[in-house]
Amino acid sequence: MQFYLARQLALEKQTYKLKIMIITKDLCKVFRTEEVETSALHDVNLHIQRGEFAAIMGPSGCGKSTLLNIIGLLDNPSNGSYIFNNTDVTKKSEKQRTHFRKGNIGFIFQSFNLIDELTVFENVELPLIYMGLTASKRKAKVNEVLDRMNISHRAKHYPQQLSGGQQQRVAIARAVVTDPNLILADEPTGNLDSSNGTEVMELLKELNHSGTTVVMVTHSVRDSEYADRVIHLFDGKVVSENKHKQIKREPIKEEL
Amino acid sequence: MIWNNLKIAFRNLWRNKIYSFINLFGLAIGLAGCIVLSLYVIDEYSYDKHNKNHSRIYRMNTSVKMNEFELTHPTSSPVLAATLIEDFPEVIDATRILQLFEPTVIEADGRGFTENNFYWTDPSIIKIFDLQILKGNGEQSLKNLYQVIISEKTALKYFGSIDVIGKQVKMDDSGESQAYTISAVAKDLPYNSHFHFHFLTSIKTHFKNEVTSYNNDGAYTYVLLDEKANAEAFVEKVPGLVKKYIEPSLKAYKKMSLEDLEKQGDYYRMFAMPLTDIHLHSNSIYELEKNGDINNVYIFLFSSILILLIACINFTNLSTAKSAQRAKEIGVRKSLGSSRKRLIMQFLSESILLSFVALLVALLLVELMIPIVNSLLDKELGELYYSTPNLILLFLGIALFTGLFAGSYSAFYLSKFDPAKVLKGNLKSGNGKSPLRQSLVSFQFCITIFLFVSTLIAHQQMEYIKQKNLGFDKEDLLIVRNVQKLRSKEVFKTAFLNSSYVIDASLSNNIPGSFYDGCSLWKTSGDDKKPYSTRFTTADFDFAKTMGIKMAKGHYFSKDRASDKAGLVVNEALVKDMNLTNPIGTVLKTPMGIKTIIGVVKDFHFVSLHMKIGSLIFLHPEGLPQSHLAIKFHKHQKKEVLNLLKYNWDQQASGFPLDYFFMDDKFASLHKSENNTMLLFSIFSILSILITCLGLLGLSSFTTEQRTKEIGVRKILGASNFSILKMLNKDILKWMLFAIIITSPLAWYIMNNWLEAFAYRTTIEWYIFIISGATAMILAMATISWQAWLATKKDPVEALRYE
Ligand SMILES: Nc1ncnc2c1ncn2[C@@H]1O[C@H](COP(=O)(O)OP(=O)(O)OP(=O)(O)O)[C@@H](O)[C@H]1O
Ligand SMILES: [Mg+2]
Repeated sequence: MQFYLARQLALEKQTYKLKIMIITKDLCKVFRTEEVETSALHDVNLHIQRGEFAAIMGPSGCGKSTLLNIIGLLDNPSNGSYIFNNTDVTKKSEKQRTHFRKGNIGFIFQSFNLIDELTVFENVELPLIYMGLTASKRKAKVNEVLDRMNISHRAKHYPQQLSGGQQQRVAIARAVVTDPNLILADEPTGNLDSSNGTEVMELLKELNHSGTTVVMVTHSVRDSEYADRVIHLFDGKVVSENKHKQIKREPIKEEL
Repeated sequence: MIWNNLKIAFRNLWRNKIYSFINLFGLAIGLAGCIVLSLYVIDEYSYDKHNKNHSRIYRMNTSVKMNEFELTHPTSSPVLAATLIEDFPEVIDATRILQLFEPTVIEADGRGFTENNFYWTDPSIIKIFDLQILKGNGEQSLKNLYQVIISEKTALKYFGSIDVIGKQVKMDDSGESQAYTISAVAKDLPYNSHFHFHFLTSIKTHFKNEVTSYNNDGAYTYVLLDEKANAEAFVEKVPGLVKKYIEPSLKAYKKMSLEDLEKQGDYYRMFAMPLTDIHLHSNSIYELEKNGDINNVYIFLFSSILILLIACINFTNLSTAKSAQRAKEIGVRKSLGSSRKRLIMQFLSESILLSFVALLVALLLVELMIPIVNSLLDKELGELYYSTPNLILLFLGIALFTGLFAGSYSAFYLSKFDPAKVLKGNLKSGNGKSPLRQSLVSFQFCITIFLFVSTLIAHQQMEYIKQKNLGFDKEDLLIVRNVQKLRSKEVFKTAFLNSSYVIDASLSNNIPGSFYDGCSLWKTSGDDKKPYSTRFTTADFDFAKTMGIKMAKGHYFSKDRASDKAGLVVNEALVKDMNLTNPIGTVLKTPMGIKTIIGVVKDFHFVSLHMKIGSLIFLHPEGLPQSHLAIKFHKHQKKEVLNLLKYNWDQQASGFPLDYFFMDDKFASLHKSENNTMLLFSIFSILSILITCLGLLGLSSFTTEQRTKEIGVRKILGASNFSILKMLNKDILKWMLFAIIITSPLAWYIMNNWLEAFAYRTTIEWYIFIISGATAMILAMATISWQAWLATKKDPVEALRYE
């Protein structure tokens, strides 16, 4: 019996491990400038499951963006460890992080961060170029994703010629064009009016339903209701994790 | 208001230290380079203008073409001066100068000095050249034979004082020592005079009887015109003198009229050259002193304008790039109600302030550069600099204009901004890719590449001339002058031949680079009765060996062959000139009698590399004077040979001063002025490259700063550092390629023309263009990549943090 339980536990652990995409252990981030030392994150322990839609909330300056950047492998933690897709990526070099990031993680920003000199098509194409895809493959993918985002009629336009909502749709298209496992969004609706905001949230929901893990920073309670779970940060610490509902969506995306 | 503007301007400049520094230094270096080059140009044009009569003085030049031999000399017949005064009422005075062919030794106070600037002249020189007599009676001082006027500096050098009236100096005159009595001391002519005398003595001392023949043409003749005279009419009348005075002697000696001469394609011309043209427009090998070159003046003038242009473009480019960066600030200011006029004033005061500070720095740089340029070019530019306040005024104007232009361009550009658009961030200027700015940069690179190419080609030409086979071996060759002064020059020579340091030694009357006398030759058979002109020299039996001169045909004089005495050795140029099909054994009539050619030497450069090799004959050495000893020694034994020389000279010379030189040094000094001009030119092309790169550095730091966000986004999307570097370099490479393609043919054309002026010239190699283009490209890429590399090092998160 005991043996059975132990085996059951081990099995559960293993399946849990498989189901978990992001594990942070005692994550700390300290920013040092000449005069001050800011502790942006303090002992953050998080588990985010594959296929989960997590929202991070908290007052301005509490470390949300910092956390998201570490999760997105744009930055290294000062202390603690970070396991991404069962790999310890805590102390990876910039080059290695870039390699992990490519095609696995998509970013969406509050200020869109589209490149002004490139057309909508070229903006969306960019990550594919860096992945080394051929031109014909790129074209097919970009057109497909622009279609999905309902923005293909604007492919030849420049970002300045689009409204904020349209720009954010392009940014989302750029984030998902590589079919990433994880989408990180930092206040994606921050610069949008409510109807455009809703549209973006619906898109994120759709992506999540088709199996993509989404981690989103937001100030809006309304937006956070789209998430399975809300993580509250305060002064660099996780203060509570409310589950909105049980995660039961299937199928979970294939291992990379 | 203005004060307030300046205050804000200063604060802005201070806040952007790197930008201000780059902009300031670029413009300062450009202005300084331009000022120094302008000084050089102004100085070259200042020659002989110190003379209050300068606009009324003309020199008589002769231009002759005989049998393919073309020469313009600055001299004419000594008779001409008197003739001009007689024939032309407008000529109120004339003076002649005769010069030593070789340096001679002058003894004073028991010491001897090698002297070159000893002139025979007429007393009228004092009036015409406005000489300042410091001691003695000017008018009377050249009245009698063997009186001499000494220059102030020479008096100080020889006697240590200028109280020298009545003292004597001794000069060698046709083998005899002749005493001259100092009758006056005159101020030296300023450095920017086309000649400088040390001693002036009466021409009567030289011509015991006044010359009456037009055959001699060795006198520098200057005339002074009346104040009311029509100078142009005079200049037009001068060529007519040939018909009246030269033709009779032409008929007498050569049995030819002027028409006959012209018919066979030759000519004899005379023309009057304004005094002020001599320095820049007269380049005969027989000038009293080496003159300047109008081409150099043009080149320097041109490059000074180019450098200034590069610097001004930089300044404008950087200012506009900077102001584009401030678009947001402008937008905010405008939306807050700042008037357009105020903004324009602000930009103008900023850029004018900067350009004036740059001028100040430039003036400091000029102070530093003047001594260097002076020592390179043997000039005294400092004096000119301080005595030409107008020049500074000119540059004040240029600085003001640059500041105004750059400032108003920015102001105009920015005041066009629609604040709404700017604030929305929809301004396309953000990427720093303004086509105007980029085309200006590529224009700068055109200039830079051009300067690069021309410097390289000019350098190659100089090297070519230096390396060119002289036809004799100038290395390890020591030349001793005045050996005729020794008790026995043969004993002297033998002393060297017996030394283990010495390979060979030879006595001769001339050595390559010295003055050669000329004479005429006639064929003795065939119909060809016309005279051929040639230079002649005498040298002992060891000459060809010592000099490393090769025989083309026949043999050189030998002691053991008595028949050589009636022989003649000629060079290949003469064989070609006289069209001798079978030179050995050809009998020629010479002023020294009938001679048979026994040998032909291969051509060697006996005058200068700037001239084509002319005809030359060697006379049998027996009984002829020899004044030089050439010593060929073993490599690296210079010091030993010198010691030997000093010892033997003291044994033989009875106090006569020793005068010697090394042939390779002499050739180096012949090319010194070219080399230094070249060096200066190289310095300025490097400066221009420096300024261009400085500008590019500033500009690319803006560009990358502007693109920080974009670079961050690209990196987040997975871009490698290399792809970022590639992206940032792509544009400039396109423009550079364009610049190279535009500039290369132009540079080729201009430099090809420049090379035409040389008798012997290098070919322009294609790889020069590749080298220049590649160097400019590498420099540009290095500049940009450095900035780009800094940008890629930035944390992408950081780049996106601030909007
Ligand atoms: N590169 C940095 N250097 C220094 N301090 C930093 C840096 N990045 C963030 N910080 C500091 O770390 C803390 C957390 O910043 P972070 O950007 O994560 O806040 P945030 O929760 O995203 O705030 P907001 O809601 O306003 O975006 C802040 O105090 C911030 O000042
Ligand atoms: Mg944030």
